[in-house]
Amino acid sequence: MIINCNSLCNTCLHASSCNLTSNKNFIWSCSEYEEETLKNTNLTSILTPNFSFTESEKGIEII
Amino acid sequence: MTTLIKEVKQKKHSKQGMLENVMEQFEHAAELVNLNPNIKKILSVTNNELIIHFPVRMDNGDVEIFKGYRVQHNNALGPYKGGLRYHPTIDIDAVKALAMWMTWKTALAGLPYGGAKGGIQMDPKKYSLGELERITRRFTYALGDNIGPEHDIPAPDVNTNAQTMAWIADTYMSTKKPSERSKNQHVVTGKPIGSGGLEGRDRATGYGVFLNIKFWAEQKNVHLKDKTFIVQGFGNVGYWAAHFLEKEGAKLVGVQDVFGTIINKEGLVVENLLDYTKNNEGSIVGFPNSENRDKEDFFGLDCDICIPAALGNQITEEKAHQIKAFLIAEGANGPTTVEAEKLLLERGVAIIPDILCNSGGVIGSYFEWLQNRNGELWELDEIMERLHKKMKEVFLKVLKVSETKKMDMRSAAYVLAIERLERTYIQRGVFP
Repeated sequence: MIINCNSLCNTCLHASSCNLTSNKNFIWSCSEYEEETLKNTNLTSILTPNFSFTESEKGIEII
Repeated sequence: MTTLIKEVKQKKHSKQGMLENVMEQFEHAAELVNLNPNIKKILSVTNNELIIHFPVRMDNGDVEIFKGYRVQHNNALGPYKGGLRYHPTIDIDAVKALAMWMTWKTALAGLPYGGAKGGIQMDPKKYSLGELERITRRFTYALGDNIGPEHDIPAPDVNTNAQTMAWIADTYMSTKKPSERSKNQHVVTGKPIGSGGLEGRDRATGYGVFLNIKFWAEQKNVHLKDKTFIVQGFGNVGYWAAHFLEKEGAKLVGVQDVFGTIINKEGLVVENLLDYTKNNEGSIVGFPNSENRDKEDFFGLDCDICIPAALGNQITEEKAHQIKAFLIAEGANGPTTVEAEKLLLERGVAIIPDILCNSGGVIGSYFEWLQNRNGELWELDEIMERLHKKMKEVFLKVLKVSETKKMDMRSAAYVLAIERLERTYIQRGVFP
């Protein structure tokens, strides 16, 4: 299956088995679009501040 | 002057094709309204295009640089309004096209908004929740006063949600002095209900689709009771549209989702189907008393009303010949191709265009913005009533233009949107 690199289907979890359409090019919105599960979606990562970076050497500051 | 039209011509082999489509629609509508050439020049270009590169520290301590976009197409009618999407494929052309489309959509709905769109070029699945939060907050900080409750109001889009909006609101408000923080809550819409979000926002688009069908039926003296309908997509839009139509006495006879296509000529009970999907990993397949069908047969199913509520470019020339419905209500964005629409209109099939049919969502966003701005909390009944009133007003205007100017409803919708913008420019003039 060839999917246009600019189509949402390109990153959709269901792309290979999708029953909605055979035409997976130029799709820029879809109600059934779903990404793969995010890695490490542990709530503690947002509830507990991570200050460990302060101990590391400050390498760059771009803005 | 380089206009979007020229840019499109220069990029004949654009990968996305989206900007080309939106410009074609604009050209067509501009011709229909005989748009003032000077105003056409203004509307053909985006006001501002912002590309921001910003650094974010990852969980492993490394710093990654992200590319974020915000395109503000036009603000003649009010603050810029449009979603933020996180996706690896977004580029400036795609964002420009979507921003322009938002200008037409808000103008048609009669809202005091302009059009914008934005996002970050990245694949969210590669990042932890903590990283996504930091990316969102850093992008918000980098946008600075290029967004604002009275200037540019982002909303959820692909891969962004109520949580993303809550992070943006919190970051934006934190950059203001303490006494001004709470009056900046409406910098984004689509927030969680506990953080200034709107009650019933989940059903606004689907309810709007239903209302458009209802208004059309009333005007054409068609009774919805016992009419049959099919829905492509059983997400928020498809489900809620089906829910309200069923309440009105219509019968759901076919549904297609990402997993399969099911039918039952006697009717599929919408609430039972929703409950079934909740216990079946989201899939409609295997629903009791339903038969499976091939995906290619969906649009040819026997029915009175067809609701494409999933994705674009689905009703093609080939499918248009198979359609048996007398009404197509476009819940999705761009589900009918130009060639297919021509064929369907020749056959007398009515089409309620996407820009009108699915505008319940942006109207819901407007209500959330107003609610925050006025320091109020609206109840669900009140919201639904206001949505009904607003959608009826817009629908009747589009129908009237369509009938008096003898044009299809899509053209009528674009004519109304562009005429509203033209009128504003004529009244205001161009500074200095």
